[in-house]
This record gives sequence, structure tokens and C-alpha cells, in this order.
Amino acid sequence: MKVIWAIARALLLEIWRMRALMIFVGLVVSVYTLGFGAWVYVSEDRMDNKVQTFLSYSLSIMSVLGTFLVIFLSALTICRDIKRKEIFTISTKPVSRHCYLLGKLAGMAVFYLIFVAVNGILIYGIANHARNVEVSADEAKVLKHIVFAARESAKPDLGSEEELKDFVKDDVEAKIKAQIAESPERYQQNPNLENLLRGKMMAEAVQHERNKRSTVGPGGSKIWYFKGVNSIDRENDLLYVRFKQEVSLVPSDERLSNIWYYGARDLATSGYDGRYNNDGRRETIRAVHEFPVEAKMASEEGDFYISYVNDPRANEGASVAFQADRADKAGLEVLYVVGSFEQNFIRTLLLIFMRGFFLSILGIALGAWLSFPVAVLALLMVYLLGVSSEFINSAMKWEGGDFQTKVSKVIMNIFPHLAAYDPVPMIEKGLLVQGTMIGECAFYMLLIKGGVVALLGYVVFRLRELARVIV
Amino acid sequence: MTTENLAIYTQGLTKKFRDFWGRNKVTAVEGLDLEVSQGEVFGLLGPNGSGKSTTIKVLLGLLTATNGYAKVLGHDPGDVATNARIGYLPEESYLYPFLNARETLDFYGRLFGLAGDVRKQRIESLLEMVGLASVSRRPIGEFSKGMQRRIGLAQALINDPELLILDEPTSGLDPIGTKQIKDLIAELGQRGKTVLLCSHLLADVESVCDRVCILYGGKKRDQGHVSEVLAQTDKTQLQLPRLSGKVLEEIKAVVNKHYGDCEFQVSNPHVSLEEYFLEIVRKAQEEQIATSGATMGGQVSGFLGQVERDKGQNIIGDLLTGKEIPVQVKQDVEAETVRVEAQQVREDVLGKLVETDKIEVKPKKVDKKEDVAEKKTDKSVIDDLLGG
Repeated sequence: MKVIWAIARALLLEIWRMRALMIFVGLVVSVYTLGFGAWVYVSEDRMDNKVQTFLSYSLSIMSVLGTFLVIFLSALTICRDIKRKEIFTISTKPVSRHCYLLGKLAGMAVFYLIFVAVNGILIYGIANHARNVEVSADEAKVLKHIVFAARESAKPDLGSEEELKDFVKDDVEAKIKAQIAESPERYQQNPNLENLLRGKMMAEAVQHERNKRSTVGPGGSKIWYFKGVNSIDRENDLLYVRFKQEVSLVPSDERLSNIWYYGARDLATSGYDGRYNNDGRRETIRAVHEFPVEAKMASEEGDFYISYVNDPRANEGASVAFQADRADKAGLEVLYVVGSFEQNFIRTLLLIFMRGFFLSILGIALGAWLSFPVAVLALLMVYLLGVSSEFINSAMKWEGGDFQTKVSKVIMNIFPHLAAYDPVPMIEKGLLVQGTMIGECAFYMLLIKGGVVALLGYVVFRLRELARVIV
Repeated sequence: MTTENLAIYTQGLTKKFRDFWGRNKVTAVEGLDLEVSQGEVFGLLGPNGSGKSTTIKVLLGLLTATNGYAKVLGHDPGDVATNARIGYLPEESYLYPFLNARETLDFYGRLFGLAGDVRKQRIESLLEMVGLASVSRRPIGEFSKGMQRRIGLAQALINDPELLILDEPTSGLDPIGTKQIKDLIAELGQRGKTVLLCSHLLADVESVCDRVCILYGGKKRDQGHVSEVLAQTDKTQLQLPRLSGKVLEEIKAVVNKHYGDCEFQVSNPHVSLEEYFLEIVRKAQEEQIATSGATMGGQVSGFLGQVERDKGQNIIGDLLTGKEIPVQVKQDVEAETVRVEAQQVREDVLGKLVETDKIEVKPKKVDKKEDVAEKKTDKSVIDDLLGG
């Protein structure tokens, strides 16, 4: 342990004494904390918007800067020890190779922890000051219930994948029969064709049904049920109904007139408790909107109902769809307060730290057997693929065939899903950074993937002849 | 002698460097058999590219032997526990340039798991010993090469090693530093440390090593005690006060009488440049002229203890307390002067040969244990010279 700490300590001193780097980091941090901080308090905009923007930019820049620092330093530290041959002096002391690697890793972890903590304190201090600034009642309400809150999201129950499949099964089978009847010899020659057709038609039918359940035709209305809407303070908190709409026919002003009803009981049988229409103002399509509802409008058990009414005249006969194109995404959700901003902020910093720590493990593992430029390039590639893994997967799902989709999924699973563990969009919207997200990140990314990477790095380093030059 | 008693033992040690495709690029060491006893100062000599450093790197586990067998202090090379008993000074002092001298020694002390107070004590002692106490807060990156060698040597000694492996220890050092390092090695040797010294500076090796091994092209060319390897037993060297031409002619006549017309060289002895230089520096230091570099090092650090031998003598303890101890006479020592008392010489010849009452006869290299007059000189010639 003493040896590990001695190596970690030397690495921290090395980083601290890279004067030019420290000045650069100091300047960048000053720009995004003090610079944006000043902007928050002097520019003319709603305070809630400014704080949200500040949090989003400062945390994103901090995360990116931290990532690049980690990539650069973790790859550099071992590569330089080997290149400058300081490793000769160290490894001829009673220092096992795993202790050496662990020492470097511990040094990187402490460095990144300090980096995240110092930045976090600065960012929190600047953002939190907004609570003490005098603002309008509306801004204060938004600041309290949206910006400085940790909210959970409840989504409408559109039915699970299995339920939807069961629901559309008969219809799909009928269509398959009809299609086979048109050219039976084609299906006799290739029996597999029927299964391919069934898979394709079922996926389309499920998607269609899901869209149908989240779409309101002209003159129609629809009721959605949300469960588990349990605010921590029912008497004083606010719920926020958040929505984003698509339309079949775009109205001339690209806006819709929205009428909502809500209550704690089934609106179809028991009537509503409240109504919202944005004071008659029309709202832009394809943009996110939120309206507040008192938390006590949901039942004590957490039941909450919403109904949307599509006015055919005001909306020029357009069908209105809430973007529920995937089971895990909804264009309609109810947000309720479940925790404090401070708790959420710490969770955000923890996730940012874990992402950086994974890259440290990878950097040290790669630095143990590659030269510095090659290791940095490899790290950058992993980082870029990691932040775009979801995009690549969804692109392959739509553009590639079954085989390509599966292959791409396997390949992308090798890389860390950095985008999936990005907490910044969540804290920006005042959404709770889920414990399950932190747990998954810790288990899958750090323990499993990080563990495998560290083990491979150690094995290669253990077998490596340190005095042998690798270009 | 069993291999367990040897500090270093190699048998058929071979190191080949291969390219990416496994093709043999170069054979750096081939079939090297080496035995270094505990307590011995052993020199590994050879020109550049002869395989000295490669051998050391294999012994330290920095390279893996392609063939053959190596044991260091009875264990495989690179064994972590054994490394705690080894001190290593690489060919260049590969130290973190961002740490200062004190931090460097502290860092390596921590790697050895030394307790805080022991570490602190040793750091002070070593800084004093290598003459860097006054610049201990300067980053090593700002050090001259010689100063880096000094701090490199200090880090190699921080654990009070049983085996000290020094790769070109005097390279980049000024004559003062070189002399100090040589003195230090000799002192460590006397304290029972095993030292493997690798150098191509032959004078360094000659003055401190018990035995040497000469490598060329990765193969061992010769090995043996320094005195044996260097002694020219077929020649005689005398060192006398300045003689007149007449006396020289007489001596030459005597020699010719016995050996015919043989080679007879007469010249004035020189002090070595090293001795001359050290004298100049000593005077400058007496005048207290300032320098920004290393100062003269102090005494060998007291913590560098005597390696326990079979008898279990605590010689270092005695050294530290100032108690008189029996000095173990090394087999090979620097050429020394043997005084021959005038009374032992027949007075009639003496009057012709010298004007003082003493004659100094200086053999080129002698073994202290042996009878110098008996073995290294041809006594009959002396007798003849003395008129016998």
C-alpha cells in the first residue's frame, strides 16, 4: 500500500509541476466558471434559463476538459516513464508491476477526483448564488421546482412490448395469410420467408399501435394514466407535465392550441380536478413545453390522469402525436420532485468522475504497451465511439440489415457507453440522476469493462521486457 | 562453492534481440558464465556494444534471457523481494526531473518501505555524502550530468543494499566526483558489500575491483583477479631519487652484464593528472571560492552497514563508534610503496646510488598478501645492483 501511494504521490507531483498545463487548465476553468458565472448574473434573461444554461455548459466543458486531461495524462505517465527509462530505476526496487500500475491508477484517480471536486464546488457555488438573487415570483417558482430540484419522470403506460404484440397478433396473422395467398408458390419454395415476413410485420404493427395510442386525431381526446407520481412534499411541491408534439398536417403558424385536463381519478368516469390551456396561447410544435400542476393533484397513492383535447378548428385538422416512437421514450411525461439539487449535483459529479476513471484505467493499460501517440489515438477513438455508441447503434438498426445490426451491437458493446452515462442533460432539466444509472455505470463500465481492460493491461505489462524499445 | 553463496551466477546466459517477425537481429550476450562472490568488487569491462549493460539488465529482470540461467542473490532476476537487497545505478541516472534531490531520495525510500524517521536520516546522510546537501531543493532536471550521477548513486544506496550494481558510475563526473565514487566503492567493498561495476573506463575498474571480466561481442574474453591480469611478471620497475648520468650508466652496465643488451628505459615519474587536479581544487576550497554545483562529498554514510558474514562481525558498528577494528586486507590493492631500510643495503653501493638514506622500490602492481620482494621482483638483480 505504501508503495502504491508513493507512486501515486509522485504522479500527482508530476502533474502539479507541469506548469504550462496547470495554467492552461486554470484559464479554461476560469472562463467557464467565472466567465459564465458573471454572465448569469449580469445578462438579461430569465434567471432559470441562465442557471440551466450555465449548469449545462460548465458541467459539459468540465467533463470534456477532464476527459482530455485524463486521456493525455494517463497515457503519458507510463509511456514517459518507459521512454525516459525512469521505469528502470523504479522496477529494480521492490515494486511489483501490479503495484506500479495500481500506483499510477491511484494517482490518476486522486487527480481527477480533485479536478472534479474543485470544479464542482466552483460551479455549485456560482449556480447556487442564484437562489439569493431577487427575481420574479414566476422565476423563483421555476428555480425552486425545476432548476434546483431532482425530479423523477413518470411515463404514460402505452403497454409493454409483449402486450402490444399480443394485441396486434391477430391482425398481423390475417395480413400474412392474405399476402401468402397472393403468391403461395413463393412461400413454399422458401419456408423461411414467412417467418421473415412475420417478424417485419409484427415490428411495424407494434410501432403503429404505439403511435396510435399516443396520437390524438382532430376533434378527439385521449386519457393517459401515470402511476407512482409520489412527490416528497405533496402539499408544497409542483408536478410538471412535459410534452413535445408532432403533427400530421403542419398548421400555418407551426403552433398548436393545447387543452389539458388532469386529476387524481379516471377522468372518463370521475371528471377532472384541473385544466390547463396556457391562457389560450398557442405553443410551438416539435419543442419541449412544461406546465405546472400542484403535487396534491395526484392521489396519495401516486395515481395521476391526463387528458388531451385536440381542437380541430384551432389545430387546422391535424392529428397530434406525442413522440412515443420507442418504449423507453415518450413525448409526454409527468415530472415530480424526489430529491434535492445538492444530492443530484453530487450524483452528477460522481458519474462524471466514473467516466473519467474508466478512461484512466484504459489510458494506463494502453500506455503500458503502446507508445504515447498510439495510446492517445486509441483512447480518443474509444472516447468518440463511446459517446456516439447509441447513435451508431440506432443508425445501424435503421440502415443496416439484421446481421449488420447484430454485429454492430456486439462491437459497440465492447466500447464504454459513455453517452448513456452522461448526467449533464439530466441535471440541466432538473431530472434525478438515477441510482440505477450510477450502479450500471459502476458495474458494467468500471467493474466489468474496466476490470477486463486493467487485467489485459497488467498481463501485457507483466510479460513486457521493460528495457526493450517499442516504437 | 554452491550457487547459493554467490551474489551473481550466470550459466550460458544468452540474450538475442529479435525483430517483429521473430528473426534474430542481434546477439547481445552469448553463453556468458559469470560467478560473483558475496563481498567482492567485480568489474565488467568491454567496449561499447560488448553486452555489459544487457547483462546487467538481464540480471535485474529488465530483459529476459533468451537462453541460459541467471541467479541474483540466489533468486531469479527481477524477484521483488530480492530487489529490496539490491541497489542499482543505471548508465544514466534515470530519475524524475520534476522532483528535487530530497524528494527523489524520499520517493525511493518510500518504495523500499523505509519508515519516516529512518528515511529522513538516510536522506540527510546520503545528501551529505554525495555533496548535494546545499542543492537538495533544486529539481533534478536542473542538475548537471555529474550532479545527476551523484543523486543517482545516493538513490542506489538508500536501502543499504547487499549487492550494488553500478553501470558506468563515473561517466559525466568530474575528477573529484570520480575519485569520491572510487573511494566509496572501495569503502563499500571493505564493508563487505558486493559491487558489480560495469564500465569502459579502465582506470576506474583497475583501482577498485577485485576481479574483472572482459566482454567483447557479447562473449567473455577473459576473467580473473586484477593483479593477475595486469601484472607484467617479465619486467621490473624501480623508483629511485633522481640519479646522475654516471650512476645510470653504471646501472645499465650491471644490467647488461647479466641480461645482455635488453630494453632499458629511464624517465622521470609523473604525478597523475587526477592527483594534480585534486590538489588545485583542494587549494581553491581552502580559499573558500564559491561554486553553484556539488560540493565535496562527506564521509561514507554510516548506515551503509557491513554485510553480515559467517563470523557475524559488526564491523560497521565498530566503525561508527570509532573502535579500532582489524582491517580485512583485500586481495588486490592499489600499487603501494614498499620501503627498504637503508641498513639492509650494503653501504658502499648505497653511497653511489643515492644521496638519501632510503630507497623506494615501486613494483607496478603487487598483491599485498604476497611477499613482494620474493615474487614480484627478481632478487638477484637487486643483489647485483647492490654490488653483490
